[in-house]
Amino acid sequence: MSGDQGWDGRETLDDMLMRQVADGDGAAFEVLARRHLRRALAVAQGVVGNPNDADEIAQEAFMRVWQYADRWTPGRARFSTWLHKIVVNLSLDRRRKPQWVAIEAAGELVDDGARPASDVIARKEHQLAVARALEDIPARQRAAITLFYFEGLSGKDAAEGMGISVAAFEQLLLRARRAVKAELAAVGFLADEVLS
Amino acid sequence: MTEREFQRLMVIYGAEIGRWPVARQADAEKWLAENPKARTALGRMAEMDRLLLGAAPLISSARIDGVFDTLSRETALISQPRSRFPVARFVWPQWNLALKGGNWAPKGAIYLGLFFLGCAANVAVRLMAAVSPLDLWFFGNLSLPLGG
Repeated sequence: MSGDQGWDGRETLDDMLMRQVADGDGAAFEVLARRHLRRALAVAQGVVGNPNDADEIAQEAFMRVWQYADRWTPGRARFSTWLHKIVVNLSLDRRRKPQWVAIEAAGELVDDGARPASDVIARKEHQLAVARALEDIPARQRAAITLFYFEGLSGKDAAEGMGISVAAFEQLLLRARRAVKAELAAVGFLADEVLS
Repeated sequence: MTEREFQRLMVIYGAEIGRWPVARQADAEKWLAENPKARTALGRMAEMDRLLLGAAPLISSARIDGVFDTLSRETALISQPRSRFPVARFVWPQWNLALKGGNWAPKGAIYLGLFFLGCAANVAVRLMAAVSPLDLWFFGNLSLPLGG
């Protein structure tokens, strides 16, 4: 993945599948869903935090793909961008307080390979700080972090996926990262001089 | 590139310059080569990037399978709303592409088709409105297909 480059070979297949889905081809829909379901789930969970909600959102998003496939126009936008928009909008529409699970998950993500115990503890503290920061920031900022960092989209593609300008997207990322930095600084992670 | 801009991009996009906006990457690499001290800041930023990535949700294959099964059942029960104008599904994408200037053949075909459709409609209306053979001769000789 690099910078803000766009189209790749996968889009041709997605275009073809979407044409078939628009004609009511259930088998094509299943192939399309298999190709993009993991990403839809990851984006939804990155924004809402709760796996159960994320499952419902991903299902709802693909139901919309199935029902409104004939509204999609090849050449105007990539299928993945269209899907991201649906998933992000559905996720942001969930008004319930997210039950973020990253804090619990963070405890399992520690890489304790050959590091000294003090390093392992510090790293775990840092991971918990990041999880806390992600829990507290607004959902739109979480969506920006999710699309750019978790899903590896370029800034341009992530902005398109959120339906906002690149400048607005950059502002969201900037605020989100500052929030993460503040939590990390509170546990002694020395990032102040590069994030101020 | 200024130090301020380099730091701004680093804070927003992280330590991997390859993920910054393409238009700024070459300038950033050049600035970094001229300011090796900035590598320390990039190193710290890379650590923060790793911590952020560690918070990414993990999606298991079993979970994907579960959602997929539910989805398959639901789509089997719900039919797609069909367009009242199925031809539009074919014509509109071609038209949309043509408007972008990327493909002229469909655009020309659509314009030509619309022209002949207009001519045919005009002739049909005139034939229906004609009351005598003289009217037909008059319309056929003195008026243009698209004119009045």
